[in-house]
Amino acid sequence: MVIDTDENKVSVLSDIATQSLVLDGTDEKALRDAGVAEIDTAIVSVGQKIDASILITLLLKELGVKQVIVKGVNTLHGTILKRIGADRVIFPEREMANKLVESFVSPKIFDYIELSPTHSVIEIAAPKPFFGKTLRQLGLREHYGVTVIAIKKKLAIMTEKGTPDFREEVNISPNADDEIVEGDILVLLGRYEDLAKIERM
Amino acid sequence: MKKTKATSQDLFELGQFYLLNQKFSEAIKKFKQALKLKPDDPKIYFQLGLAYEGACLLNEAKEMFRKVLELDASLKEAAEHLERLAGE
Repeated sequence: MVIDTDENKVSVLSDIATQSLVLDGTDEKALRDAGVAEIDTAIVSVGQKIDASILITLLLKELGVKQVIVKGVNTLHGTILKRIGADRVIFPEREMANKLVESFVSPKIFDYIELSPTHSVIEIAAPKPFFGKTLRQLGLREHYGVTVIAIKKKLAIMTEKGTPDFREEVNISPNADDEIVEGDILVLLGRYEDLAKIERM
Repeated sequence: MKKTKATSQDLFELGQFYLLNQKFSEAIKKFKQALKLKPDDPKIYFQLGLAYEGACLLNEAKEMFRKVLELDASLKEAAEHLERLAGE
């Protein structure tokens, strides 16, 4: 369900939502009438309007929405949102900035998702000592404490023009017998310190 | 038996063989050797860029694709790869 006061914004998202409504999220009666109370997870994103996001979050929790995720503007806003019951506060700009910093610091890390204050998912170029070894041989969970979620492989192909190019193949939830080769990108889940050990290899 | 020296074309083809077989480090070595014999060949720089891209050495790959465009701005594959990598 998508809700906004702006009809244009609602119509843009109407194709991907099962229900799209033009209404004011700070209006308790309108939210109740729309059946918002039946929703399991609500995401509140109202740009820089701090007062509106606080009010909407409060109303959603009072209406009984189980999980309310809110876009925070700054740290103080985040603290208030958590006090009034927000289950999760996200700071997209800050997360993007962290991502950028991370990618500048290490050219080996291609993407980064912060899952919690202790864990994250990273996309990293497979380090040289891993080449030619299977996941079983590497024992990444036992020895490094990280889980391989996927392996992205670049397969070199010859194009119709006669020049080589790459085709990417993603092996999600790989088997223990899958082998890592040069050029593979590993999608790893783990604690920061464990992932950093792999990054330094 | 007379030993003949590899030409830049031999090294280029060998590099391409390694590249297509995902042996990116070997391909990089061969393309670099080919460049020593033919330092201004944009085709070799392009394939060296691909080998770097394959090996996940993206900064080096971008540098090579830029070099290709300096030498021959009409090689649009290099511009495409450069654009693709700029988004990484």
